[in-house]
Amino acid sequence: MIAIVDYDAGNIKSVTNALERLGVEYKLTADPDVIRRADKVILPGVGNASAAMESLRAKGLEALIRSLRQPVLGICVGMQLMCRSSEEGGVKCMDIFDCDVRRFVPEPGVKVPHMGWNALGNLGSKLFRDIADASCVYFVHSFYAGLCQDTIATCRHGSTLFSAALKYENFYGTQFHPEKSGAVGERILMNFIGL
Amino acid sequence: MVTKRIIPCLDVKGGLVVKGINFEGLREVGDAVGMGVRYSEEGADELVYLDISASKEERSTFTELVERIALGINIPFTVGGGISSLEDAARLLDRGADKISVNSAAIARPQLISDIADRYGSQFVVCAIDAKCIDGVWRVTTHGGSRLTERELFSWAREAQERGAGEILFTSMDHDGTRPDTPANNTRRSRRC
Repeated sequence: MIAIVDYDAGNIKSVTNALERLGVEYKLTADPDVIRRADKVILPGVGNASAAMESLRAKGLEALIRSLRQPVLGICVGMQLMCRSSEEGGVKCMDIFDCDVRRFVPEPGVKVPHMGWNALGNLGSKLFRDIADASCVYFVHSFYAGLCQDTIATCRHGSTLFSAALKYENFYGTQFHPEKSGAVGERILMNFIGL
Repeated sequence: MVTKRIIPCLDVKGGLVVKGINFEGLREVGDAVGMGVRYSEEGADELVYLDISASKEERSTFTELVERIALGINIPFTVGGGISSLEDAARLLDRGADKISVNSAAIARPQLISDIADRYGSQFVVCAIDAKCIDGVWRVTTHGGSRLTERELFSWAREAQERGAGEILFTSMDHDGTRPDTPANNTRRSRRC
């Protein structure tokens, strides 16, 4: 069973819908016991990182998530919360991935938020099994995680090369939305589920 | 760099996709969810569903439809048609829409764009603009193209962007459903402003 962490972090229906389509058993929950016992855990997140982190702490879930030993996947803001800190609201995050989250610096002709389909590069994890280099996935974000030793996929927006995905031990994170990335995204979700 | 996107735009009436030419002569062409799934399998990057229903009954059908679309397709989609308040937008977000598009109501009350963008972010707000060229001036129309306004296309596109619209969905009424010669000039000008 997959536990999707329910912590009032924006619209997470797209994640539950994706698991429905894939025919995977899941539970949307904030119950520590259910999360601890789940085979896999997904930490979704849409919106403001600072508010999301506050909400995660208010529910007493920060220490629990850091202590998990099964595969955990953070999506979008969920991934950002697993970094050291975020410039969005100047918030200290869970410090799982070895990098900080920054705002895209405006450049001529480069739109922020970075929104739409963009190509993945430097794929290096079982999460991307059977995914071709330069496959496109769907992004919506104004803040990004820099490159670090935990980077397992990169993407470029303007002159910024950033982490499209991160991994440290059993923790995975994607800046893009696999649940909105068509067949490629479904493959990535199934790879996570199959870990 | 972000890739160019192919975004089929489907007009929906009473749960069915309809097709017209220059906004008239509508005929039904298929089931909204089924067509969305087919487009996504054929490589569409996103979808836009516009509710062109006239009656209240048909509108409630559309809200239920949004929920089925969200469950059925694996790419982002925008929904629009008759959205005139923050509550309308919130309801569609709850049903699983990735973005909403506003049109007539935003012309009547531009603050609507700011309200939705402030609450849910610019990435959630698309401003749809239907315009037609009259004596060399591109003028904005509302209510499915039936009412001509005094607003000029490019100044309205700029205001919409300043108020927080993340994208502009431009339709040339003079070219709708006719295939060739969509005025790319306008798209380029809109992007610059």
